[in-house]
Amino acid sequence: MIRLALRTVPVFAVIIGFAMFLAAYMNFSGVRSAYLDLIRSRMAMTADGIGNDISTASTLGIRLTEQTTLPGLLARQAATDPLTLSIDVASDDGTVVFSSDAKRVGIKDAAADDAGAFRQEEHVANDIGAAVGTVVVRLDRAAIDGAIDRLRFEILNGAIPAGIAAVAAGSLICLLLLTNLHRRARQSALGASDDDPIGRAAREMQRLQPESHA
Amino acid sequence: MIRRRAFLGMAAGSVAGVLSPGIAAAQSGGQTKPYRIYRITYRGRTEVEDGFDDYLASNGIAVEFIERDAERGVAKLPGFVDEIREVKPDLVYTWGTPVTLGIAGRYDAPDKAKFITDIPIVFALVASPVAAGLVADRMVPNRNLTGAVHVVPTDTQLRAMHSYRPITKLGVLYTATEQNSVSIVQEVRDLQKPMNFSLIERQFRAGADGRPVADGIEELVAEIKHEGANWLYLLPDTFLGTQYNRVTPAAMAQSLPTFGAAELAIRQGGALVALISRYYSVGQLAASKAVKILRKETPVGEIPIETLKRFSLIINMPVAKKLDLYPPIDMLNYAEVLTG
Amino acid sequence: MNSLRVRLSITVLAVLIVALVFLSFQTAERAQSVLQPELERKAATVAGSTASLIGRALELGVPLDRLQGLDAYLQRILAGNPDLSYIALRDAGGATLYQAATGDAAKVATAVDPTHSVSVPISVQGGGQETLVVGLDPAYARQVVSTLWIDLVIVMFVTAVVALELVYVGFGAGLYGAIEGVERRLKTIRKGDLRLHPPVDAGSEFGGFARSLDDRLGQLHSTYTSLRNNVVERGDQISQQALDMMRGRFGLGEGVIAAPAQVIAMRAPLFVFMLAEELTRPFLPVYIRSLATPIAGLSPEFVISLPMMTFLIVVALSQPLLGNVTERIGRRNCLMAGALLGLIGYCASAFVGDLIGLTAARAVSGLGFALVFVSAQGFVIDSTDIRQRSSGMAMFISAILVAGLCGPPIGGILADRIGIPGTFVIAGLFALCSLVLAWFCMPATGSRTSQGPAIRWRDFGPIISSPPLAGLLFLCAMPAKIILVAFCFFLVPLQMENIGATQATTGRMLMIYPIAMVLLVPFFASLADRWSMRAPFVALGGLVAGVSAFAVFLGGAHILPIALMLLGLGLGQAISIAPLSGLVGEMGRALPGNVSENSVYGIFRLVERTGNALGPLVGGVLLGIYGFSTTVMIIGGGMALCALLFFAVLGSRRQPKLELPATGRRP
Repeated sequence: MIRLALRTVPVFAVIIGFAMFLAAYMNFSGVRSAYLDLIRSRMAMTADGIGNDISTASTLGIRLTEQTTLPGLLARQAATDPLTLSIDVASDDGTVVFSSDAKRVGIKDAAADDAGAFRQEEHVANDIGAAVGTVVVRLDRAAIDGAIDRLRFEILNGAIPAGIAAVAAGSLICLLLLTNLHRRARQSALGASDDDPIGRAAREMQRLQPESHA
Repeated sequence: MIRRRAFLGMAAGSVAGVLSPGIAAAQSGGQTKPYRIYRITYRGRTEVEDGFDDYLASNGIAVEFIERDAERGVAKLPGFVDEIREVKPDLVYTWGTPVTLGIAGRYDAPDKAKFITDIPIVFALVASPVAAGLVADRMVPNRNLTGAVHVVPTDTQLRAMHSYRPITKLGVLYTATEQNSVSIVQEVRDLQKPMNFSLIERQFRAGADGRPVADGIEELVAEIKHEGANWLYLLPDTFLGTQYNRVTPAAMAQSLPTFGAAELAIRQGGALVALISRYYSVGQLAASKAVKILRKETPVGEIPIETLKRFSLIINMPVAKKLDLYPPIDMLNYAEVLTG
Repeated sequence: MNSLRVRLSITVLAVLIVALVFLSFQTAERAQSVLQPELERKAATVAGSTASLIGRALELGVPLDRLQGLDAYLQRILAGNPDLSYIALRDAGGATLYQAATGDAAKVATAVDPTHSVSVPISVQGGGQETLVVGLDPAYARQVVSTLWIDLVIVMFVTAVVALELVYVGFGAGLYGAIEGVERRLKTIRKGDLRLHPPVDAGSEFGGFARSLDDRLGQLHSTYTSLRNNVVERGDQISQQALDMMRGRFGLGEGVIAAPAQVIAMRAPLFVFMLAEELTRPFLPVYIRSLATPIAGLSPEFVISLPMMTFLIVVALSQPLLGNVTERIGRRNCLMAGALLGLIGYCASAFVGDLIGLTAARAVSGLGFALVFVSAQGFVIDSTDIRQRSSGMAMFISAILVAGLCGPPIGGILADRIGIPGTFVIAGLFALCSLVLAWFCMPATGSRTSQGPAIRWRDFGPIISSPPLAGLLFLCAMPAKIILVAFCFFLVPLQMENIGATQATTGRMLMIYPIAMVLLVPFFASLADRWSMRAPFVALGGLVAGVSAFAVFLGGAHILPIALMLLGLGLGQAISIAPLSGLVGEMGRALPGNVSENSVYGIFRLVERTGNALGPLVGGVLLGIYGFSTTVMIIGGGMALCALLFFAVLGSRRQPKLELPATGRRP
């Protein structure tokens, strides 16, 4: 019986455990998306507002490079969100023209070399659809990743008690089912059961036997 | 700024002594002596000339200027023409429509002897060179003239005005004899229907010689106001450009907001709002034409006349306060605000 | 069906559901504690940025009561942010100076609910005491949580299905052969059926039981035989009668009970391989688009459809040919070969740099897919007799459906986390896993029964010339596959990407169709049979699936209308799919001449697969010209039109038959 338990219970423990892990991870993934969606919507709102101003100004013929009020606007917007690394406005060719972070002005902005930032880009076009530039809101990726890591830790760890309970309960019930089968099998194999058709058939044949010898 | 002053110093102090010919040659690619530019301004030095000079300096072009000023009139122009013929500069620079017309003449002028037709001329601050008759085609001037146009398109001007405060009745005050102003007013007339406003027109009074005079400006502005105007458009009229100090106080007295089309209108003239090309940028654009001519890269007749497409929206907050007419709050995100 | 397997499955399911519900509540609570501050932070950002703009205006000397256009500005912010309920500028005394509010504005003016609002003072040098208050809409927070709950329920569903599938894998792995053997013996013995059983592997404890049971039964049988011989020898009529009765009661001397179908052995490898393919659903078109370079004269959308079409053409063309090949070489070997091709194809898809490479990789995957599909199908046919065939096929189909259900959401999450190439590699590993499972689970040589004739091309004639059957194939079967592939595999993933949805969201969207199928197909199948209305059901299903496309009228750039469209598609196809298949057989039998049913089905499948291959082509061509919304409406409209046309064809054929009894009844 112990050998049986050792051979079967782990299979169910693994199945239930894996399912619980999968569920916990997918739960985490769902919350993570919801969390990032909210952050993105916040960034998009900021980028959108700035983009809107740039677009209106462009419609009045004010070139992006001439929009001298932008540094102030970017600085004000960057100050409203403590996670902001910088808010940049890049020209058509990707060069940062204005930024809330003076050090970024003049550099070529590329998402690929900006691993430390969680970025939201908003392409700005004027009233006739010509590209004007790009607003890039950059948040501190480390802070966001930290929050996500905490979330993962909490959800996955929170799943551990439930997972252990489920594994234990599932294994136990499976074991009971198997034990039950095991008991019936042993009884039947040994002919120990009250209702044993094999025994009955054997007895009936037994009854026929002496007659033949008589 | 420092760079510019240094350069001006060089130009003023007679180039030969200050600027080492060796360096100049190296910088300009074979330029052995400074070019001579005969420069005629209309009302003294402006930021246009700053932009012009800076552009040349940053491109390593050594120049020697012969500076002349028309003193807000055309009387001295024939004398300048004679002097140009005598001096034979490499290039003539003209400021504004009256000066340019006086020096270069109409392209179809019957008597070309009164004008310069052989020395390249670069103009700045001519609002409408075709309407003024300077050239037949802006893309191919086909004569000894090219330059930089500074005017913000009229419909863009009105849109900016409208977004500050919807236009119901628009007043204009202009010089009837300025071709350029007449054509702008025509554009404004055409915009009445699509933009849903009506137009109130007044012209400066003319003196005995047919030239516009400042007399009665206050009455004209008051008339415009009384006819119900809620905006006064200070269009790029050369004479109006000399009268801001009378027109805007008159408008202010009538609580009539003014919208400027030139930088001076708001910086010195006291307009409420302006959508403008920066004079400095106009000067740079004109200088880029000059460089092409001086380096003989392209014949002057083939250098297209270009319009500057970089504008700035400027709000004059003290004026807004006096008029109690403040800008829409989101305009503060893209407009420059003058507070002093 | 009270077998141990069922009871174990139910146990696993029950335990998991309890644990998952608990986990989901826990997650929802945790999510709220994370998301609520983010909602507040966004409101704070709005408040901060608006306050700073007002502050700048005040600094520039604009008086507080002259903030032109502030109301409109606030209104615009509110319109763009559904999570906010109001924005108000209040003076020191709390009186509202400017405001914008959604819904009940009057309520806003008085109520300051500190738990649902964020206040920011207007900072201006030597300034006043004004504050900007931004109110959060509690309904939005509730909506975020309820959206999350939809996710959690989907996760529960997927997890439970995956766990069940793992139970199958466990059973398929041969571990339970002995247990099932013992169970079968006990069941038959308890019923008094004492026939012998085929032997099982006796290595385990249960194997020992099975052997001792077999020994007892064997002893009984040998006793019976010797007794019977003895009785016959003696000519004892009474004992012989008694023995005959015992033979009737216990089945003594009857021989061996047939072994049950071993279909389950292919389930695990098939499921795992199908899962590999399904993982790629949410992002494949997007991935192709990222690699695609413009080809002169072709729209980019058409170019994207090429690799997808290549895959489906390879599948469509190779499936009819592979039947015999797998029969000759062996189902297991072929399935393993297919899995190997899958491994190569998916891994290559991850690393190719251009469209041509990807197309080649997809062609290899397609060949692998066809091999696995045909081998598993052949395995079912080999290891079942006619009676077991339909339940065996049900297991085959359910493995594919369940993979279709779990694959996209898992693939979406993977793609979000580790990127598309990484997910391709994982799909490759799944294919490898399928190979290993096939090696372990499937018997090396299956019994070979002839599959019957494949498609005979001369049978096309009678099929085409029968209007109802031709209508069924070309107005129902083919458009059904075109719309399915065009929508689910091509247009929706691309559109979801265009509207900025994550791969995970796309994956969940793609579950809608298989869920509808899994839940509704049995229901409509039995309904159609009971009412004997297969043809109307086929037409109705086509109509529903087609009309569903017009859900994009509600906005093709929003998730809900697209979800509605997929639900309608699932509903429509759930209505029509089983009756359609039944009707093919019904009409095939009614054909004159010696067209075999097998051949009709072969042609039916070929037509379906052609529809599959046409799906991306139709979708790609139309998308390039018309954009998403119009394209789905054209395809859906076409489908609905085909369904109506089929109904008309059928109606025109039926009418005379219907009139006969009516005229006959008249005196």
